[in-house]
Formats: sequence, structure tokens, C-alpha cells
Amino acid sequence: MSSIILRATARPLVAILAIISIFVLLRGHDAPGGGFIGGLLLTGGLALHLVAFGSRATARAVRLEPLSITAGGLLMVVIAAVVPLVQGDELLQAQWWFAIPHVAKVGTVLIFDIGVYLVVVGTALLILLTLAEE
Amino acid sequence: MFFVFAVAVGVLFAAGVFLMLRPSVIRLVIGLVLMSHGANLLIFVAGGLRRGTPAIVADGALSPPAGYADPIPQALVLTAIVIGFAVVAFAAVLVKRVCRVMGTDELDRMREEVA
Amino acid sequence: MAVVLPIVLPLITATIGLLVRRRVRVQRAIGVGGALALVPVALWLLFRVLHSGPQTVHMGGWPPGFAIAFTADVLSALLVAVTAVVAACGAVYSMGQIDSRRIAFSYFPLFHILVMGVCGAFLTGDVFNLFVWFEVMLIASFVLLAMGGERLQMAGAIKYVAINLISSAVFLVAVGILYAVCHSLSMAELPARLAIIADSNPSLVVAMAALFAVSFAIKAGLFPVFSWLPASYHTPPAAVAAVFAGLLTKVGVYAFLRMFASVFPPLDPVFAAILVVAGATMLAGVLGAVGQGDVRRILGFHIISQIGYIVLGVGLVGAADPQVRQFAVTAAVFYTIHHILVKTNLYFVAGAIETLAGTGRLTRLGRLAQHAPLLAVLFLIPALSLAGIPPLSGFWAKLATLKAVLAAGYPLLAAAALVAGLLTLVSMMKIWNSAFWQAPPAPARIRGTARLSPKLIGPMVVLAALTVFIGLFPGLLFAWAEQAAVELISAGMPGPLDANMASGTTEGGVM
Repeated sequence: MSSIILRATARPLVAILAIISIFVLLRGHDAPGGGFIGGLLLTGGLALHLVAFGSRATARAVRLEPLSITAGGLLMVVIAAVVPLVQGDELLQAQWWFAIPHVAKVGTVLIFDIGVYLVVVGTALLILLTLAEE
Repeated sequence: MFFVFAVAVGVLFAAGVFLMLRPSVIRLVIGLVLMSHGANLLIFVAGGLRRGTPAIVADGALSPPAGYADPIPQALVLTAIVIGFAVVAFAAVLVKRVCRVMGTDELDRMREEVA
Repeated sequence: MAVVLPIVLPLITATIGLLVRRRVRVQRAIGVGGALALVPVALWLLFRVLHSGPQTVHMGGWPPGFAIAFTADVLSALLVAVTAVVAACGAVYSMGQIDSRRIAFSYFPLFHILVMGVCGAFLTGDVFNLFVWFEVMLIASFVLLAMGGERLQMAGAIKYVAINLISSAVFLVAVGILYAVCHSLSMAELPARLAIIADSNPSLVVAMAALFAVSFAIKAGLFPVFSWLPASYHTPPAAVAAVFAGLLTKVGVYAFLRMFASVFPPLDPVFAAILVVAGATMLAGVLGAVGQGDVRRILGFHIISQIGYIVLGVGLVGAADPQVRQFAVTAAVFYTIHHILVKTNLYFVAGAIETLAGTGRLTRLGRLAQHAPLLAVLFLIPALSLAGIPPLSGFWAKLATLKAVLAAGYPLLAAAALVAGLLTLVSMMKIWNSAFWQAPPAPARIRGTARLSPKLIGPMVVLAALTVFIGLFPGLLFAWAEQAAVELISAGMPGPLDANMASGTTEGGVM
């Protein structure tokens, strides 16, 4: 399944996909994109890595356990949901703090999106590794 | 156009049901995938088929273009696809485990094994 | 805030549990602590709803119509409160029963996601989100059911997953058509719109109602689509099965109540069909139980039969007399609450029997009343309540349902209900005789009650006490159920109450 061409091109492709996934994640609020699609892009990269180098190598390259990534993402989602409640607004109501020009507006919405990104990556990676293990 | 989509939904459901009626659990899962796609397509069509008028307010405008496509079914379909993705992924893992534990992918033989 | 807290709290518990998933002791503490904390939260919501009317929250601070809405009326709040009690009991019972391998595999986070899904389904004010919460609940239940990977569990899990996914696809189709026709999925707006469409095109509304009914029937375990339930509910650990038995089918029943007592206008063919199906379900359940020789399998069939009783109340919404209608829904709500408590308790007892004797097969059990007298009492209370013996909660539930059926003029259904009740009693006595009374066929090694940890006994005592309490003082719960029925039905009827119900009391974010 894994050829030398695939192995040689996989690493740069994974890097490119990772960068694009973060770009898509950050532009997500007002333009098409967001945490879910960004997470899927990164997962696509990881799937490529898995096909090229095998599931053990991918698990080692990611370092973190997939469920820990999911848990971290869930935590960010919970924070984004609860912070507005503490400030006296409704659950999940957007709180904007400041904007970094040309990069992103920072607020609970961004935290939520990053949380979704991590949940998607963690869950999809867990499924990939489970399906690929022998 | 509506007619084509209606037929497509019907074909997806028919194919899904056909696969589900096969003895193999792997086909069962593929059948479930086709059926959920059929349902998603139906919701998408339910919003009406319009081209080139997304419900996006252009820069400087106050409202989206006239006759814009209803965004709610699209949001619903997106949610349903995400849920379907999770469910199908789980089903795939489950089927893999089942095939390994039981040594077969046929539902009928599993029953014999258990009894 | 009171409205969304029963959803947010389990999510927080699950997240923290997932972060510390390797530490079994911490997991147990968080899992049980989170479940216990849910009880006061749910009771607070119930208190607020009873005193200040239905509460609606629009998520994200978006205006109504754009926001995802959560609405708590008396029915939702009551069910959330019972869910919290069952979840707390289930978590404590899990602490005594679930092995550390399963706990390290994130048992408690999944348990709380399941609870979140159930609470979400009860509280949502939108038909599509009902689907979403159904799925949240189902995905958690899939993993809980398959977790551990024993052969028997696998075979049960495949059937459970497949049939529930079919139900979800049907639900989605129904939602799609509903939106295409009504251009709204809000439970507050739909009744009025559907009533208009029912005047001009009744067959369209009947078709939609039928699709919803099929989907909910699968989830609730109605005749003839119940076979997944007895095939899967005896396979996971008793703590999991108990929570499933108490809550999952009842979410299907809740969907029935919400959609057919309130959202859909009373159209003859649908409600007549529901009545027939409910009658068949009652009988199919008890008859299925006759041939079974395993405690949990018998209980599984009785879930089905009891669901039939509850859905009878839903079917009677088609009755012409508004008083009969209201009484039938009241009976259904009362019955649902009673059944959640009793059935969970019976599964707890079945788990305790399996812990003591190592098996749930009746042919290998015996003399448990002598070895474990406390367990015998704890079995008799929910078992007799299930069969409808006064003065336990099941008696009032059955009495109310029978009264409603007779008032609506269906003596045949009433007779079916009586027969089913009698067979339930026979079935419970069968378990009593072979497991608790007769001598075991072979000298079995059965351990005494002393071997049961208080973590197993405690939840059973709490639920049995609740059953007895409802039995002795049915008036309180009955009054609440009646209030729930009035709200449900008036939300569907255009009238002076309608405007109130549709807008609800919008709660500020101050609390």
C-alpha cells in the first residue's frame, strides 16, 4: 500500500494540510470555514500519514492520546458555553474581546471553534487508529 | 429538477433497504449510510432548489439578495451529516470488532454461535 | 439558566471525567458527584416551572425565531427531575458494580453524555433538536452497550444500532417534510401551522404524523418494532441496562406525548392506529415474557408491555371529549414517571440477583428470600407496583389509564389492559417463585444479602421508597401530571391560552 513516492510526499503534504486547516479554522466566523471543516482537513492529513507510515507511526507522531485531544476540545467548548453565563448573558452568547487584524477576532466564538477543531481531530483520529490497528 | 432529486432520494432509500436485507453486517452498515444520505438529500431538497442566491448579506447591503435560498435546511443537513459521520464511524468500528470476535460477518450465523 | 443547567452540568461532568479518565477512583468520585449534583438542579427547575410557568431560553442571546430554543414546561421539568433521580441512583449503583476496566474506558463520561442527551431531548423546543438530542443519547448508549466486547453484547449491539439508525433516518425524513410544509420546526409555532394545513390537506399531515409515529415507535419499543429491545437489554451490565430501561424508551414515549398530544392536530386515522398498536404492544410484551427463563429477559418484555399502557394515553388524545383527552394525557404522564422509577429498580434487583447467584437464569436460582430477605422485599415492592397492586404507584397509574380508556368508550382495550396486568402479575410471581421461594434444582452457591454492598442496596431503597410514596400520596404527582397535560393540550389548541404558551416566559440571563 505504501510506496516510496507516497512516503516522500506525505510529510510535506501533512504539513501543508495542517497549515491550511488552521487557516480555515481562523477565518471560520464570518467566512466559510470553521472548526469542524478545519479539523477534518487536519484529520485528512493524518489519514495520509497513516496510510504512508502505518498507524503506530501516526500515533507516535501525534504524541497525545486521541481521547485527550477530544477532552481538551470539550473543555474549550464548555468554557465558551459557560463564560457568557457567568457574565450574565445567555448560554453560548458570543463575547468578543479583541481583534487581530487579518488573522481573527478573538472571543468565546474562537474558543468554541478551536474546541470543535480539537474534538473533531481527536475523535476522527481515535476512529482511524481503531480501524487501522491490527 | 425536483423530479430528478425525488428519484435520487428514492434510489438511495431503495439501495439502502436492499443492502440491509442482505445477511452480511458490512452491507448492513453500507445500507444504513445510503439511507441516511437519502434522508439528508431529502431535507436539502425540502429547502427548495435555487442556484446562485446564497443567504449571505453582501458588503454594504442590508439584506440578502431577493429570492435567496433558505439557509435553515442547509444548516440542518450539515448537522445531520456530522451526526451521521459519527454514527457511521462508530458502526464501522463495531462491525470490525464483531467480525473479529465472531469470526463471521453474517448475522444468522452469529445467532447460532450465541445460542 | 435553570433550563439549560440540566444539560450543561452533565457535559461539564463528562468533560472533567474524560480529562482524568485513567484514574479510576477520581472517575468514580466525579461520576457520582456530578450525578448527585444534578438532582437539586433538576428539582430547582421543577420548582421554578411549577411556580412561574413554562420557561424558555434562547441560546446565544439570538432573537426568538433565530435562536435554538429550550423550553421547560411541567412535563419536561418532571421528566428531567425523574431522570436526575435515576441518574444519581444509576451512578451510585455503577460505583458498586462496574469493573475498573470499563471505568478506565470512560464509562462515567459516557454515562453523563447519555444523561445530557436525555435531558436535552426533554427540554428542547424544536423538532430538529429533538433529533439531535436523540442522537447524542443514542451514540452514548451504543458505546455503553458494546463496551466490554463480550460476544453476547456484540450480537445485541448490532441489532440495537441498526434498528435505531433506521429510526433516525425515518425521523430525518419526517423532519424534512415537516419543514418543507410548515417552514418552521419550533414546537411553539408548529401546532397553529399544522392545524391550517390539516384543514386543506389532511392526508399530508397524516403522512407526516405516520412517519414520526414509526420513528418514535421504534425508539419507544412499540409493537411490531420492539424486537431490538429484548435482544439487547439483557447483555450489558445491570447498571447500564437499568438506566437504559428507565430512560431510553421513555424518551421515545416523551416524543410521542409532545408531538401527538400537542404538536399534531387530532386526526382520526393516526390516533386510531396508535390505539391499536398500543393494545397490541401491551399484549405482545406480556406474552413474549411468558416463554422467557431469564430475569432480565422477562423484564425486557415487560418494558414493552408497559410502554403500551402509556401510549394508550397518547392514542386517546384523538377522543372527542376534551375532558377524556386531558385525563388520558394525565394518566400517560403519571404512568411514565411511575414506570421510570419502577423499571430501573427492577433491573437493579436483577443485577443484585446476578451478583449473588452468578446467573439470572430462573432454572438455576432459588431460595433467595431465605438467603437475602432484604433483596426479596426490594424485589416485591417494584414488582407488585409494576403489576398494579394497591397501594403502590402502579395501581394508580393503571387505574387512571383504565378510567380514561373506559371513558373514551373502548371496553375491548380496557379488557386487553386488564389481561396484560394479570399476566404481568403472573410473570412477577414466576420470578418470585423460582428465584426467591422454591428450592434451587441443584445445591447452588448463593451468597447472602450481607454480600451486597450498600452501593447496590442504597439506590434500590431510594427508588422503592419513591414508589411507595407515590402509591400512598398519589395526589401530588397526579396534580403535576394534570398540569402537564393541560399545558400540552392547550399548546395545541388555538385559544386564549395559546398566545401565552407560544411565547412562554422568556427568562433573562440574570439567574
